[in-house]
Amino acid sequence: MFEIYERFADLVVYNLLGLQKGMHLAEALHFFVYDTLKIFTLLTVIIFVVSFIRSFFPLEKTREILSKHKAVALPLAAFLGILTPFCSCSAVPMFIGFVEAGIPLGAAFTFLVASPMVNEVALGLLLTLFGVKVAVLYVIFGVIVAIVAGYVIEKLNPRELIADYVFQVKLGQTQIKEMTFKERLEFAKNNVKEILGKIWIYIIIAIGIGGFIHGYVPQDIVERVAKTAGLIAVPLAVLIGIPLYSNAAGILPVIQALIAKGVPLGTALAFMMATTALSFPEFMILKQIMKPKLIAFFAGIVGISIIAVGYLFNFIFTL
Amino acid sequence: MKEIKILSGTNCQNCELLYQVVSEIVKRKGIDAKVEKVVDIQEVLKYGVMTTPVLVVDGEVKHVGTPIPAPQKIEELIGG
Repeated sequence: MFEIYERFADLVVYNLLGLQKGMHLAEALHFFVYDTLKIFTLLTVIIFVVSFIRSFFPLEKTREILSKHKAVALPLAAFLGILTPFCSCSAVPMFIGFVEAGIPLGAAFTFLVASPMVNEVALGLLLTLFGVKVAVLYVIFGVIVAIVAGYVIEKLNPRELIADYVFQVKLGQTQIKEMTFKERLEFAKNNVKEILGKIWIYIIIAIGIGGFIHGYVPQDIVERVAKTAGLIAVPLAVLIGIPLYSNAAGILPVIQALIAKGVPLGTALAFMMATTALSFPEFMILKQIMKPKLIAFFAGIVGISIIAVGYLFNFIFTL
Repeated sequence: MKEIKILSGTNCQNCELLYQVVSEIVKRKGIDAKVEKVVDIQEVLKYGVMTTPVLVVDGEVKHVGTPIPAPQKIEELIGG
């Protein structure tokens, strides 16, 4: 599918620049040219398609759907969380809106996890860098983590850890217009522009670092480090991931190069899930409506689930 | 005089951006309007929306969520 980019990279590196195959610099440059083209093509396509689908599921509609199917609220919230565009700054109104509609608290938490965790940029990058199998498993595990988090929190009965006013606010009449087909296309196009406009520089830098690793870092060193880090690598990756919120884009191409050199895939995936699902800004926003204890539970449950997924992934892919 | 409100979430960059773009358009075009940013969550929820930012002109919701529209489109929505 990307043969043309492969040939283009060959042309630039070997013919235009006259570098020899097998040289460190040639390997690094070839990786850079090929990966840049491939990643940006796929990200454009994937963000466009996902945004188009998402235009059918604004948060207000998601609320309506969930309130009609309370019996299956948890899995449904996980599924809709993936399809519903959601900025963590909307966490408070979302919470209140869900509570007002009688949606179980656990489902609100499930939604809160699923929506950022399975995001289009991460999905696009995983698909580009690691293939369909990894991308599909990422979605499945993302959904499982979200459902587990919601279920456990529901069982904790967190009602008294949530500010009273959440249960008292009345929502006004919803006045969201349906989009036309043309507006949906426009929405998807604008999303591509906005997201790529925000992350392109990180991706380029990351591919540059990835190219360097690919060309210059010897495989045995990485393998030795990965082996030494062993079991603590997964929780460590999750901890490092938390402050790096939403920069999955700037990390994955680096990780791809490291994985090619022997870093386990589950460790990388745990890292990425942590960057998108756990974030300090979101915790600060949630503080408006819930006690720190509940936020700590929430972060703990999601963190532990992600670590479990990391180990599971490492296990599956070393069989 | 028009009443323009930008309903915002806490710590929401896009809301801030929309507020600035709208304020600038109103100023540049000399539109007779009062531009106000609403962060109070209870006030925001009165409009029945949960996704921010929201552009409200004379009580009518004109735009919801991200990406925020291009400046020309916003100008149209304000009706300047």
